[in-house]
Amino acid sequence: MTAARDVAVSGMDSQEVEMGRVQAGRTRARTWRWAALLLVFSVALLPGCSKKSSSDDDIYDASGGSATGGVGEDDMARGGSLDQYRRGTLGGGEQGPLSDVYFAYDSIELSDNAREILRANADWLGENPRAKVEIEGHCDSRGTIEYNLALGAKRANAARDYLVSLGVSSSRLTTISYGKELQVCQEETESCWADNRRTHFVVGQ
Amino acid sequence: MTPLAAEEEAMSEVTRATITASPTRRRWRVGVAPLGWRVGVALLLGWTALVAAPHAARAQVRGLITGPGETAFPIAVTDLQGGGGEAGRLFGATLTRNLDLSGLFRVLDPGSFNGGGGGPEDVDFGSWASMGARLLVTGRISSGGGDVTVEARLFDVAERRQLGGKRYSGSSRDVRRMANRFADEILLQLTGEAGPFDSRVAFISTRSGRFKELYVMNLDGSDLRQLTRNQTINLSPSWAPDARSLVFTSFKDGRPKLYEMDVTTGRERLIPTGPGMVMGASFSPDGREIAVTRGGGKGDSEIALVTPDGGAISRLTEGQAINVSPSFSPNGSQIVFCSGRTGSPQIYVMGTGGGQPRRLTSRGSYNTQPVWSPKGDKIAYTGRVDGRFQIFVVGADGGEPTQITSSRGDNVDPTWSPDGRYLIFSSTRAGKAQLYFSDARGVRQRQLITSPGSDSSPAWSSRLE
Repeated sequence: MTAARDVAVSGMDSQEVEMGRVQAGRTRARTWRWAALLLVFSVALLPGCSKKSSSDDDIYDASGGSATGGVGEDDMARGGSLDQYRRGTLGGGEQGPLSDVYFAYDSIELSDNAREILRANADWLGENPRAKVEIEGHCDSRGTIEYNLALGAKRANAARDYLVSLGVSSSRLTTISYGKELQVCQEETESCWADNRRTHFVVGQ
Repeated sequence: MTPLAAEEEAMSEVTRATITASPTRRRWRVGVAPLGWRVGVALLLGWTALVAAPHAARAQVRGLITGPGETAFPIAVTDLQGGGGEAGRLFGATLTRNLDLSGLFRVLDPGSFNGGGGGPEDVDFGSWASMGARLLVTGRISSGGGDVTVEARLFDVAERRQLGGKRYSGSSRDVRRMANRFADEILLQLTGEAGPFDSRVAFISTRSGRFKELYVMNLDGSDLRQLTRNQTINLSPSWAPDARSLVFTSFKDGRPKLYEMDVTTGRERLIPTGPGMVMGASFSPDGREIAVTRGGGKGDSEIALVTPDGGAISRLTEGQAINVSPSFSPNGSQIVFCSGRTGSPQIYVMGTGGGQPRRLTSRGSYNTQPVWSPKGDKIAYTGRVDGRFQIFVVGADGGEPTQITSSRGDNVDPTWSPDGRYLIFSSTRAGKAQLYFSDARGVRQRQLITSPGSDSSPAWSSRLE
């Protein structure tokens, strides 16, 4: 049923017209539609199938999670910036016991002020030895998505490394970068940009 | 999802028919081929050259059309004979929009035609010439029982010749794709390289609310579909070479990971990439590997190669510096990427087998998001100029970059058309981020679609099959 043939269209210089028919294809498409519906239903009815994907996750987490620390992701999600964003409260001044640290544009360098804040955070962690912390790296809205994800990761790492140098066990610390995706301040002004260039500390148990 | 599958099936049958007919097409395409190619073919296929020789004069139009942004050729697009109602109108409107977007044509106002010019076959060339048309599209449409057949022809008015003709059959849903395919055919006949219009664009948008979700549409804006609804952050889609699936980065499980989405079925799966968070990825041209940016052992960003099933994994970059945004050369032997190894983000090229990276950009202190043209000769990237972000194009071997945007807003996230003639990118030039279409020199830039949200990270697929 590939009735492709060349037709000399009358009257015009005997140029060829390429043509094709599609009847067979449409019938086949209907068959596929039913097959797809059947497949959707069988996937929905089989608990084994949906379990499979979550066990894939577990395998991945075993390698990914252990390399960055032992805090469960469910614990981390609660109270973190992404969680706040989903609840619509990001930038609403919700504060944990640890203060944010701020950075200069396109920089991962810890200023004197940043080190002072990190020392206070390390003190608090010394007084609360069971607390674990996810360190979030954030960037301002300028620049590109992927580069800012990488920059945020370096900011989170800089804060982590300094906390570790102050005696905090690295097993209590995980890092994540949100790049420029989760802004606490939306305006395109110097002061807003400065507020967004931060590491944020989310405490879990 | 299922109706799209039906549409795909229907149109792919047309493709198969076209392929079956290719010996014929090759025979008469010889007339419009470059001289060197024509000679080569003549040597290989002596009989072909004999058949084609009388048509060699057709090369006149082609010789005048060199690229988008050059002199726009006046082209008349007539209403399809037989009417076809909405289907006929859609075909004409879609074809006209494509020809206009191409930058190669000035589409004449149909109001000036005065019903003259003859029929689809018995064209009155003198009449079209006097109306200022250099090229002419005619056609007829017939429909019945939900099936539509469109037959379209391209004429060189001055040469009084038909340059090409195609007949498409399918359902009434396929009419816009027929117009896209005929636009691609017109560019093929006039330039030797098919157009990019029968393709898809994936992108990230907030049009459904606050969250960045993944969307896909046809280049003409039709068949827009939301692919993710996880209400978190989804980033940086990149197509598989067959345009059936794409990879993207998602925070849907808390930490950013790499996922593959089948755009026809909507099926989504995790691609294991090893430890460390994912910060974007792109497919190799043969689809067998994915270059992924991931957090390294110390949480810095490195570029690694993984297979789509999460198999073999190798690291391409080393060290503490930021390395992001990998993009393969079309032959798969090299990768262009952004690295901060000298202190500021710059563009580098390295072999996929390893070796010392070669720096491509020498000016500016923030150059990133490189994307290699599917034709191999150019690389587009995003660079900062006076605090704003602009799109640049540079030769893959280096040389002087061309800044193709200069608007007050930011222009980021470039992606190439499958024919390497055009770019789509995201721009805030008119407020919220929207998608724009441009030729590779930036001469003509048009907003691609109007979004109620912010649209970003466009990814242009290969031509659909």
